[in-house]
Amino acid sequence: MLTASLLDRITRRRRMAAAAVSAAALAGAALLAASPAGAQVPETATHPDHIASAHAAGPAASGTSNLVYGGGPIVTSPTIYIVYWGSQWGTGSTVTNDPSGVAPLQLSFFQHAYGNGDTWSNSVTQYCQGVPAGTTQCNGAGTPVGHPAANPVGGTWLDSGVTAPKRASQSQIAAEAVRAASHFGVTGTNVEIIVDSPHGVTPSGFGTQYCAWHSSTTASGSSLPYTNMPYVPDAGTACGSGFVATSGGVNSATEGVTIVGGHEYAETVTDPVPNSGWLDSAGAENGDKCAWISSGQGASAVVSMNGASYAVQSLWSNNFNGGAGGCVVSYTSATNQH
Amino acid sequence: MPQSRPAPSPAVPGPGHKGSLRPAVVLPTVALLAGALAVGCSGTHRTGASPSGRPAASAASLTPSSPAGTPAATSSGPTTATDCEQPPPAEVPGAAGALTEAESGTYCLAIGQQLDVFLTAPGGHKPGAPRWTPIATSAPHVLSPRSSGILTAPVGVTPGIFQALDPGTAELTSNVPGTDRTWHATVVIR
Repeated sequence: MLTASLLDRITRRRRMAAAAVSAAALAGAALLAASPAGAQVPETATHPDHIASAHAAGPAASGTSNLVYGGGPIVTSPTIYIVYWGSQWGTGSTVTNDPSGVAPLQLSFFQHAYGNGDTWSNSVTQYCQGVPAGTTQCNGAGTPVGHPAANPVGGTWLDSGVTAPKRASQSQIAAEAVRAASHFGVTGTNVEIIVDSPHGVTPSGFGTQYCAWHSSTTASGSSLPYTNMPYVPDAGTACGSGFVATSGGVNSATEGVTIVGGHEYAETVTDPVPNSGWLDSAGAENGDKCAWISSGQGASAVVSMNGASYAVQSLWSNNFNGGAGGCVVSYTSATNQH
Repeated sequence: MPQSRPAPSPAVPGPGHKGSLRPAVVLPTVALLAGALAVGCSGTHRTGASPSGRPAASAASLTPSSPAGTPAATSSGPTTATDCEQPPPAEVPGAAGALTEAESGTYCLAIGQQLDVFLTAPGGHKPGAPRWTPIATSAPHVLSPRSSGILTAPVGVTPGIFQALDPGTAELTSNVPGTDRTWHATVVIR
């Protein structure tokens, strides 16, 4: 169970030790925006300089070709908004039905995905917009994908004013994203609305055909990227439970929350309006190419992000291996990807 | 200076792809898709350009290399008499149907429709178990691969998203390396 008061306590602790980030409470909402405590340079457990280039057993299904720019937008200043969809999560502004602790884990993960303390998602800065379609290496040209300098979470909202459908369709999920965007007063490609379905509510195909997906819709005349994020632990091992050997206090049962959530986040910032951003020749994005690698180069791992540990998958890096590309769990920094 | 190589196909994906769908596009739900599918399988022969005016030839640039051992045969001419059946209903919104490793028949699609394929590894969701290779289409100008990167497939599942562009027949193939497991299905686009 996650209560507003507990979230407030977490928030206060994190405020004390990190850069100032405002937190505002909205009517009927639990809006949190805080930086994590104990910011520190994390260990780089799998720095690519120290790893052979051979691919893992069970490599990604999407081949080894590099990503190519499609001419569309990328996310230059990511801001994440999470909506807990439906009264099944709880009533009022308090999440009470969260048996696996998805809400606080997901929130914490994204709150830690910033700055020098996050060496997992910084590989996305090699991709850019403002260059010709067909570009594979930006080399400083154009405007790069943004890697947040501070906590990128703009807010959370328990939308208890509706009941999430038992088997939500894409149009229903998109409508909820628009509803959340209206609540937060945001739109545009720098926004990622994550629509969290509650425990026990299974969107069509969840666990058999997908674990999550991202797309975009339109709100206030602008593109609005959003993610369909089911209650991942409900799918068990199919969506990542127990995929990575645990360490750092990571709960094996909920590893999929951050593996899948990170996958979709990394894809959203590089291709917020599918499929116009960075994709390979088969249409795969940077997360898909490296999904569910269990050993060797690019294997999923527990990484430290600003002092907290999370299970993540690697992300495709065109820069890796002298430009040949490969799956990379972490880079030393956003500006040192070699 | 940025390094370039030939641009991929037009960035905007075709109709039916969930990554590109807007609510207004998605609103025609299963019933409408089923209706459209029925038209596609009714024997009505449709000809003409690919949907949304997209040059069919451009789709070829999205085609992944065929895995070794996959059939090279391509039958892209209009098909008029091939028996085909509707694919099982899709679970992921936006598709006219979905196949798994259990479906290996001949399926019909109408131009513009999307077919999803999800092949689950023989070892199920076990990490590191041998997986199906990327699903190849023998006729990408007829049945073109689309991005599946917008979704996180479950552990051990190889996804493939395809869109029907022009009349003809395409073979979809995959195999599990190191085993004798192969999969193929025939798709007739009318």
